[in-house]
Amino acid sequence: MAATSSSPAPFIDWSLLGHVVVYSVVIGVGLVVAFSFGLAALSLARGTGRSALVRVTGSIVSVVMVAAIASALVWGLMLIVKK
Amino acid sequence: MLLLLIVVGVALAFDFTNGFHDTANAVAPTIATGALKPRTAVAMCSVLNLVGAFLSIKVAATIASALVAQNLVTLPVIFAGLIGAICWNVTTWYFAIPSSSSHALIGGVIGAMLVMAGGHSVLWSGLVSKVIIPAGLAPFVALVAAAVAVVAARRLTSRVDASTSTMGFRIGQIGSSSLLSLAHGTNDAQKTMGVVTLALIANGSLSANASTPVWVIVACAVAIALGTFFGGWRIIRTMGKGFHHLTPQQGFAAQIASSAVILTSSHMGLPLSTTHVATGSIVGVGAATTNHPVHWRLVGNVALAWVITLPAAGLAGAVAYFFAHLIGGTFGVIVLALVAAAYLALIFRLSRRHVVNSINVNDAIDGIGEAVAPKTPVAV
Repeated sequence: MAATSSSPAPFIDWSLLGHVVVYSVVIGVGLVVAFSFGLAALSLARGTGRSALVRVTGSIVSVVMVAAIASALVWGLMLIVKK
Repeated sequence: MLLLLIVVGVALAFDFTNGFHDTANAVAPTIATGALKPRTAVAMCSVLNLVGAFLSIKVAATIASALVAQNLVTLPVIFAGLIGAICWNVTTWYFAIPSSSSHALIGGVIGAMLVMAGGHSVLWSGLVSKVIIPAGLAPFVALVAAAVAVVAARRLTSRVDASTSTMGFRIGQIGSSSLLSLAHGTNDAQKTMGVVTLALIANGSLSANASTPVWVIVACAVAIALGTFFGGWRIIRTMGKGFHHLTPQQGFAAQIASSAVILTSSHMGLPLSTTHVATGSIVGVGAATTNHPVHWRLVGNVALAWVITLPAAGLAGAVAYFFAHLIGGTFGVIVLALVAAAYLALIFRLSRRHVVNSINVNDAIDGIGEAVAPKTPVAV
């Protein structure tokens, strides 16, 4: 990887490693938070004794969260495939 | 030509052991929490490994060009490296230790290279920056990501009733396990693709820095998927039941964190060990919650195995190359292949004394020593 570069590559590419660390933590935590938020919203929507507004809002939020997670995964996989 | 065929065959055998050894990385939490039946989980993982292998070849390029001097690589060196890696993989499988197949492969090839051509044949900067530093970093990144994720998940779902939470996270685990299987195929199948590409370059069948041929991608994808399908039940048991008692919420958080780390590193071209990442995540979710203690002694034993994987596989690769070279030519390679086959047969025979399979994979264990002796006896 480094051999063909015109300028000498650093012995350890801390920038690359830093990107892996930051993106991994942000994406990993973000997806779990989104899923949990959707699950909590679904629980609200399914709960007994809730108003219609709460039920509808809960359902919409849970669907939006699932869609957001699916979109993030598809986008991530497309980035990898493009490479 | 015969030598090239043997090397490619041994490379695919290594790829098979890689899938077999690493099935646990993707499915252990899913099986341990009962989100999927063991056989179903393993079959799903196998198919997604196959698909994942076609998604990217960036790691393959790193393996083929960034670790050893391509112009010095010979077919016997690659053969010896693969033999060292296979022997280490199968030995650690016998002892139910989730060690890194990637490091076994890299260690084996480097060990053989050192004997053949000396220290200048190894690209030390590539080894340190692409393997050793990420190896040290990966489990901690996964541990932190998984720990933060599980704490956030617990807080956000603290008012969700238990049945909805359990059901929701189990369904989520099927998705996260699928993603992790895909990530494993994307990352690990490429390592063997890189080695086969190196072999083709060494044989003169490809020019230096050539891209990986399609038939190599297909063969490696099929080999790792087949290995995954047979399921390394011993290691699945260690990862699913050995470190601590996993809940569906923890399993989901661990698998999503692992997928994020592996896919990100694949995208950046770093050949990370999926085993280190998956283990770090599982330990992370256990350390972040207090209901079931983490078995730190087992974690320590596994970490020790990680440290010695690179030198041990390197030593095995070096010894294999030394004897193949001593005997000489293709005949030396054939003799070594037969010796390795005999060793594998011995390990397999020993493993039949305490069978771990889909029936007893969820038996509780205390540590590595007990991992080979499940409480539910299985007829051989």
